[in-house]
Amino acid sequence: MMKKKIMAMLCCAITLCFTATALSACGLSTEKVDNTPGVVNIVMMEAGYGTEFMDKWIEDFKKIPGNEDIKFTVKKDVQSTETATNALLDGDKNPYDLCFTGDIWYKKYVDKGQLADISDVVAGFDNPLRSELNGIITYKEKQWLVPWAYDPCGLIYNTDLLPEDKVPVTTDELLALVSDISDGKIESAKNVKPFVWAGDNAAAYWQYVTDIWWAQYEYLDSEYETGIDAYNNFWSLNDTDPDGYTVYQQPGLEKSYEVLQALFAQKTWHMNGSETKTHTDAQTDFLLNRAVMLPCGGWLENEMKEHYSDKKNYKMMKTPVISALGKELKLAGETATDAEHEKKLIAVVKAADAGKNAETIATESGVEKSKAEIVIAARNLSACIGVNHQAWIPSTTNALENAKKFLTYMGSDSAAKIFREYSNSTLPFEYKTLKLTASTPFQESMDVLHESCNFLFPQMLATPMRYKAGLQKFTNSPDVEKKIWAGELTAKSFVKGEYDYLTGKDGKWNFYYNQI
Amino acid sequence: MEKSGIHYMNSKRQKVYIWIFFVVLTIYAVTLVSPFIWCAVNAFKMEREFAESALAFPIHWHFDNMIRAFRELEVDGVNLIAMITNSVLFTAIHTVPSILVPLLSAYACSKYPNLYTKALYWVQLVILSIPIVGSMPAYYKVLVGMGIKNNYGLIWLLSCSGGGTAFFIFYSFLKGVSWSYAEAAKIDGAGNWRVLFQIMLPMTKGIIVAMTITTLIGFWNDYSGPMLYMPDFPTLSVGLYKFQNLQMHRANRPIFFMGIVYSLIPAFVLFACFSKTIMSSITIGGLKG
Amino acid sequence: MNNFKEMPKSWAVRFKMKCKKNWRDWIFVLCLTALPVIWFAIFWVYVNFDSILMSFKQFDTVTQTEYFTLANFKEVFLDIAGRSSGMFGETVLNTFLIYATGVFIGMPLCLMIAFFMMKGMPLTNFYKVLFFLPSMISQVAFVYVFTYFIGSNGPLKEIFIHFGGLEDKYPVFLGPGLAMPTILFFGVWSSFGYSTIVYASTMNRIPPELFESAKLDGAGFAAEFFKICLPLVWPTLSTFIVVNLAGSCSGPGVILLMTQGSFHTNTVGYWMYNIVANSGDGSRLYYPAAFGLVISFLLVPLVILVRKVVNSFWQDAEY
Repeated sequence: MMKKKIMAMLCCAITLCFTATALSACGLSTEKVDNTPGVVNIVMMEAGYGTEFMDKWIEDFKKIPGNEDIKFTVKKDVQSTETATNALLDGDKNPYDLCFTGDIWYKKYVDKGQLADISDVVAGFDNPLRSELNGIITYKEKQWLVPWAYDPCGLIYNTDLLPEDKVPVTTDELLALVSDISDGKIESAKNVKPFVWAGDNAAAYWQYVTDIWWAQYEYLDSEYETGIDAYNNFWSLNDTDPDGYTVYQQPGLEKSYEVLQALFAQKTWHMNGSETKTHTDAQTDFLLNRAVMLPCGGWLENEMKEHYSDKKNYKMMKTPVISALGKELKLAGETATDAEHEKKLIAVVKAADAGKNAETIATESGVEKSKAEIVIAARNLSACIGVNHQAWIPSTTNALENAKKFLTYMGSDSAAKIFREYSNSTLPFEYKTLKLTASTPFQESMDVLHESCNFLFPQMLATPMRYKAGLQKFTNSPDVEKKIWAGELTAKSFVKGEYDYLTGKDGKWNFYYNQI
Repeated sequence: MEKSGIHYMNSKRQKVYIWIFFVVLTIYAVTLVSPFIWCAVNAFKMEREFAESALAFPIHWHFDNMIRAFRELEVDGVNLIAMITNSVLFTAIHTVPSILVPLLSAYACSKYPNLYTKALYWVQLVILSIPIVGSMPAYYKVLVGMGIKNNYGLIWLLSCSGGGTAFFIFYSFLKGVSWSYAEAAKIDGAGNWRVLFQIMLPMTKGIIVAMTITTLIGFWNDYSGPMLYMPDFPTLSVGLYKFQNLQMHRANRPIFFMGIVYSLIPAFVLFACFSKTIMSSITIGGLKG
Repeated sequence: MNNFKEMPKSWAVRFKMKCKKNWRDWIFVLCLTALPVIWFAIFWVYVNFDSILMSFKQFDTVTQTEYFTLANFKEVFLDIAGRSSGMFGETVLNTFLIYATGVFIGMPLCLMIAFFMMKGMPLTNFYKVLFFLPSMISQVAFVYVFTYFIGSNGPLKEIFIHFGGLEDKYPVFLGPGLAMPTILFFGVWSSFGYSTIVYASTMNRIPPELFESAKLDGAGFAAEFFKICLPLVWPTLSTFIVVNLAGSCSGPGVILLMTQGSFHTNTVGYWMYNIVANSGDGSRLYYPAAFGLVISFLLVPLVILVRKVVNSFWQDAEY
């Protein structure tokens, strides 16, 4: 009886403590939407860039004369894309007036009349949108969304562990560096692993690097004018070409994965267990100086600032140029060896980084001018998150004018400054006069990429074969990096698998092509 | 009555065997308990401290993590309190029909034997033992089509099969209950309903409580079901799963561990209050004779 | 006349009374069984019928209509034949491995420990409580604690390095090669304690006189276990064997939480669950329906066969 009483008292005590703790944390409330016409209900992605910038934007926006009385509610949602697109199904009951989400493959919603035309907003920006985005956001001759957060992605390196002169400029240099680090030849990087990556939930970050190697090599492909064209045409499957599946045979694709395969084959090239690390684990390990390099994106700084704001010792490098390019171009001459081509490639790339133009490089290094142009163009390519972050207005909004005003504000200098300050990031505009200040070496390195590089990014919305019928980038092996690491695939078998999926026996090409 | 640890006069050799297995079991117990202790200890660290060493004890014990877990463990705008509420609602809404419906149908089958109830018995047997594997897609379609998805008002329908192990346990138990009490009551003019509620059900109180607790625990911990058909109302288990998967931008594992610790508390409280009944539920059925 | 039954009545009146009584009973029984019958009609008959139909259909995204086709089964048989991107071989093998590990490794281990618990192992009561608790907590919590503990950022690795292990040599438990064994280990390890106490509690109900008389006849541990315990607890074990086989292909299990099918850890249950959960508008559920139907055709006779086999052991064992 006594035992029962004690147990009962203990249980009550635990329950009370629990309730007290829970109640003391109350005050957390998710803002409720306000369906009054004119009130702008925003749903926004709660992810790497945080949400603080939105509150500051609203504050700043309201300071503009005429905007003082515009009301906003903000729903911060980790799955904003699903929330916002599901809300579209509710028709007039959709509570949201402005959505900051991930990629919604917007064209299918435009076809259903569910998005508001924001061509006037795009035309009315203080600073115009970056030109490469115009094609992406235009459909049926109108504009429907504004990308936000336009950060470069690629290889980030620790500046304490890797001296600047050792930063690789070609893929062969990268492989040699990995080998040197593993062998303890880099003094500052002893007992540290060359790479860490997040195999568990972010293995696809490797594509920020392999896509660039792919596009670089495609400068040799006579089918396309530039590597950028080749890459973009991969996504659009050569538009209405009935043999559009041949894009999966672009030589650059296999070459890029050959480099990755060679990297993965090196002994102790990465932190043990990286293939099972989550995004958080990998970033944490990188910031704690356990690895020299990490494939990641511009959100790293903001995402980790809560606990690692003191860490400023990392930068993003320009993606190394694929060494196969130098060998194929025979940069050092027709009879030179691969090693000589590689040496020449390194020299040309470094000259390009120093700002020299093709003519100067051709004169100084003895390389043909046209080849130097190719190398310069290849060097100045970078991956970015592209249109993975989109701002758009549902057509059922009852606050269209105010929502458009707020979107237009996004193109202003002050919005850019706020975004930089609170997200450590950059909006996709070409600023006429504004020069954003970089407060960290990482930010500085990203600004260099912004200024010098052409950005490449995934374009699922380039063709109905992808956004309507669902043809993914890699349908047969979406987790190609893990499979190559596990030895289940080679670059060759991977590319063959993707090609055969469309064209092999029981290939699916006709099904997808009929979507156009 | 169950006896535990019958002490026989074991020979020396047999005692050695017993001690060997005792050591094995103790090692197992240590491996079972230590991850949870580790988790609870690390719940009081800051993220950076945890990242620097997962093994070390906290330098400073951050008890405010207990409050922060409620503030920060949020998925889709649903915080920990809401997840617990969803768990309670989900469990209650499913447990009641999961006990009541099999109980009533087992009663009908065991006490009113005819072709219909015999057929029903065999149907339950078939459902339990014959696995139809490919039906999940069609099942999901029906859920969505009937409006059951994300609908607290309708999800109880999913637990109305009246079958499963609960049916067979109630059936065997009720078969063993004498009908003479019911006959006597009927002679005095009691109807079927009265016999059921005033005579038969009170006799099954013990087994109902035991089955309820077992079923309740099962639903409390279920995560794949609510994730599939109640995605907008994450329960505690679903919330933990989503938070782990959506940690893309939140590097705060100690807070996550605190959430795990909280998810364990209701189970321990329930066990502390009902330990005898719960422990007795594991012996239901299973021995010949 | 107190007893209505004893009153003389004509057969017509008696028949009418019987019908009236039967009619009441029928209403009663129908009320009690209405919900299960409706459930059965919708969620078993209709669902399985629709599932069978679905396996013969496909969805045309251009015309937005369904059409009948045998293409799904063609895909399944291509998978069975070992197409490289096929899931059949991997999922069936892994599902079987998980089941077989539980039955042929987990069960014997648990039985042995349960036997010694019954034989007077110290701290038995304490262990019974301790081992019961994991069955009460969410599998999500269990799995995540386990995976963090053994992970490459976890304390086990630090212990390994502390005792002289090299960081590179620490096993990557959920990586290539070790993922499936780790999952199998987890399956046995997480349920070991609970299964043991179920068997121990069942064994404890065996009358001690049986053991005493066996001892008098000179029986040792082995004889007691194989000739007394095993036959008498066989109903529990046979139920476990059959029910687990029947349920082996349902639900995602721990795969959803641990590896999401990476490194060849797909099982039938996980693979189907994953497709359904990510189906969005439901237009890609036809192939899984066909896949599942083929699995059922293989599994159902297997369950019936196994049931027959296990029920044939120790049929006449009693005390």
